Amino acid sequence: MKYIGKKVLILFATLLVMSFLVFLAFEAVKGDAALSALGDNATPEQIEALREEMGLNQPMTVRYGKWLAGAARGDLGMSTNYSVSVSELMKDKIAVTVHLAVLSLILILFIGLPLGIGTSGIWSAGGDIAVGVFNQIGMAVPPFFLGILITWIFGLLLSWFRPGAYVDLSEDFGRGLGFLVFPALAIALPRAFTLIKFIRDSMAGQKRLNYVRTARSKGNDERRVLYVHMLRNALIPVITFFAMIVAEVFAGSIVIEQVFGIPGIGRLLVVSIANRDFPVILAIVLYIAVIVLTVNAVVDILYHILDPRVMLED
Amino acid sequence: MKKEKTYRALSIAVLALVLIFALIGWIHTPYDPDLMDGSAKYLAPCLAHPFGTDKFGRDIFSRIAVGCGTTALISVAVIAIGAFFGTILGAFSGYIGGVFDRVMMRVSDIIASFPSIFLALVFVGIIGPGTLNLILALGIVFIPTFARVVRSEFVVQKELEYVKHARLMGAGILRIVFVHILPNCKRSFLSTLTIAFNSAVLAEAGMSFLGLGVQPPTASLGRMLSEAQPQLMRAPWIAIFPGLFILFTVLGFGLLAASFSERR
Repeated sequence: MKYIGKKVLILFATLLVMSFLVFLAFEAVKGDAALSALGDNATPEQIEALREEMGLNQPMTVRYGKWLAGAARGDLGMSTNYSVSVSELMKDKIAVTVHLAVLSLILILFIGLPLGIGTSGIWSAGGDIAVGVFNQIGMAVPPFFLGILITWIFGLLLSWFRPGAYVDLSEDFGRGLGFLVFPALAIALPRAFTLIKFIRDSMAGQKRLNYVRTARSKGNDERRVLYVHMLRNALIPVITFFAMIVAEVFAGSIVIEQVFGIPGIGRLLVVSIANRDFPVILAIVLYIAVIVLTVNAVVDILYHILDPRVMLED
Repeated sequence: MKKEKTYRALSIAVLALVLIFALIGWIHTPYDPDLMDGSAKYLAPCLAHPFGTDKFGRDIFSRIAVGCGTTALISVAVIAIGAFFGTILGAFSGYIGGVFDRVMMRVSDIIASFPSIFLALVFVGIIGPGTLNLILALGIVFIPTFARVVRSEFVVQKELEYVKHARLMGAGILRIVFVHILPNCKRSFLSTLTIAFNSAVLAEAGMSFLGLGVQPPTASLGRMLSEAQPQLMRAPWIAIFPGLFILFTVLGFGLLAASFSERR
């Protein structure tokens, strides 16, 4: 229990420090927001008045405090580009990205787990190399290239979906899913190969341990040793892998949303970076940071529960 | 071992192919990569244009050669920044230990939990898009990667006899760190190098694909891919060849990294 409390505390401290640093960095580079809002023709009085109104004359720390207080209430400021509030802008897009990410994660598990477990019995030198090389190729495919290939083959040649179009899940679940499956596959496939490699490496590590020899000497056949004794231990590290993968899936969805024209926060982030719309970038960056760090903390805690030998020193 | 050798042979073959293209790009391309030719639009791969031409009639083969060169230069610059500062930070962090070490490692643990392309997006979001900014952003992103590996070597090495002897002989901290310990980190450093190259190439291509990295008219593989997308139906080869070359580069470094990890 103490362990969990500590983890949660560290999580909040990290998020606080991170938000401050990112806020600081944006403040340092963005220049005078009042000046850029009014343009070159504004009189000094006008600029001064707007500056006062926007609270730009206050010290950095005060402005950060205000932003933080606002963020806690769900008010993330105004987008400089669209003149709507950031929360308004992000509201619908978050759901889209989360749907895409969850579907990708499901696909990774559905493709990676059975193939990883299925191929983990292949120990022969030739077979091992063949599976290994195949895995490397799978992991090396850039998701955006895979996305383009999928668009070309399934969208244009086979017409299974219309590239560029998008139907939200809440409007029509079946059709929405049809539009999400292909981008999710582009994110998931390379990572599924990583999972296969991960399971195989984990199983290979178990092979040398004493309990495996014991299990074998007690007369268990090879399949039972493999799939009952070893698999259970080999799958524990997969939880850590899952934490890594959540972060990568969100990063992948930033690029893939661009390929398939999906209106999620990844696309919003890219557009906002190009337009230098700082309040939006700040909000999205921190949103993704919250997800990644929370998942990491949860995984650490889960790991601790499943394998009590793991006691982190801090 | 057979597996290690197979991986290494394959990786060398694939990387050699990319390197040959990069060399062609640096030295001489069959066509001017930016030359637009209205009479040669959307040519499918043929003898004169082995990879075809794009919507401006530019030769894809030449553009890929230049793109491979760009990617190689950017990745080398990125890794140089990351390896240089990461090694120095990791070395002192591991050797000195204490509070400095704990703070450093906490920070790099946090940074390492984010994918490199996401961090690159954050930095480019702060300092703005462009080739130089991308190099800087990715360079910073890879500092913790190297710092963590070098640090963990130093934590082990600094307790060994030879370091104690060096200290007894009156060697200063700089000499111990750089002359005595650092050369012994070569092995883990090399395998980190290949893994970092692998993700640097992917991150560069991804950022250029998003339009936040290499800016036109400079040919880059990621950018070519995103420019090709609207013409996918008419001329799929404009997308397929640059994509394949990104895949080859990533695969080459991936196999090399795998061959290193087999050795252990």
